[in-house]
Amino acid sequence: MSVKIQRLAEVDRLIHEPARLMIVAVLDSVEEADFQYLHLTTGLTKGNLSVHLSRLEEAGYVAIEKTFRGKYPLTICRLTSHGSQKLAEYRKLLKNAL
Amino acid sequence: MNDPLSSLPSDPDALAAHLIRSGHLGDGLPEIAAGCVFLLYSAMCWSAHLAQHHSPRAKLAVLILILVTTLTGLAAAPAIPWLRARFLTARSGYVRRKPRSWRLSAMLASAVLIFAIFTLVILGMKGVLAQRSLLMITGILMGSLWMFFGRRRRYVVNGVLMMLSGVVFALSTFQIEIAWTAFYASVGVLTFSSGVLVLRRLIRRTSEQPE
Repeated sequence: MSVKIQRLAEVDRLIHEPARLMIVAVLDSVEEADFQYLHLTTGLTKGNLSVHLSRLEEAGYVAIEKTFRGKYPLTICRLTSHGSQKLAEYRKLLKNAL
Repeated sequence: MNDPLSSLPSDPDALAAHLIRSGHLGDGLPEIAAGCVFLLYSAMCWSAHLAQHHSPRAKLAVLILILVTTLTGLAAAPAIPWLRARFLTARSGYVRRKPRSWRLSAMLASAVLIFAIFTLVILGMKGVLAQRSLLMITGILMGSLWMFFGRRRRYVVNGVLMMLSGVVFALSTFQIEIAWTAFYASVGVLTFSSGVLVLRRLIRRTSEQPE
């Protein structure tokens, strides 16, 4: 087996999980987004999205802030610099391996 | 809800582009804005038709319409996020995008202006056959671009309908200015109503599932 493909075993499994990859990919393309936006763009159920966001927050990949915009409560999520770096590494590893 | 993980690209960049596009087009506002611009083009063609036979006032109306069309095209890009933030935050969610480069904005503005002038130049051409061919080509090009940028089922359907209307109006027995007017009007009504339907569906869907 090629050494390049073997390196796939080193992939960051936290990001590699498809639902979390969707969340991280969206957050990497924007400055910040709220829970409802992520729910609509990813198509994940609210429960599922909430669980994955908690895991990403625990790992320090995503920062979550609860705030208000006018009278609407917002749960704003943004990718941290650590998360951004991890995604760049993941992207590089995948590109080199495939 | 369908499984969102099926049929998604695995490359993170492609995945992000796909999801962001789906978020951007998910409320129908871009189609409504495009529909308004197409309807203004239609009005511009109609007034150009009237200007051939009438007073300098009609010619002034054409110039004003070119200005209004260009300004609407320019205003559409910042207006969409503003409308979302003002009226749709609770439904379509809040997002702050990375700043768009001034080059892209300049390109968009130039494209709208060039297209408006291009349409008027075509209307001023003498050869009816050449004008009809250009109408057909415009319909096919617009339909192709619409499908390429939207990449969703409704965009493909609308793109095909745009192509068909270009061909049908080019081959019709209408006067050429009226054919152009009817072409832009039909494309405008098509995209505008498609956007309104999508927006209505979003409002219904989000009303059914409160936080």
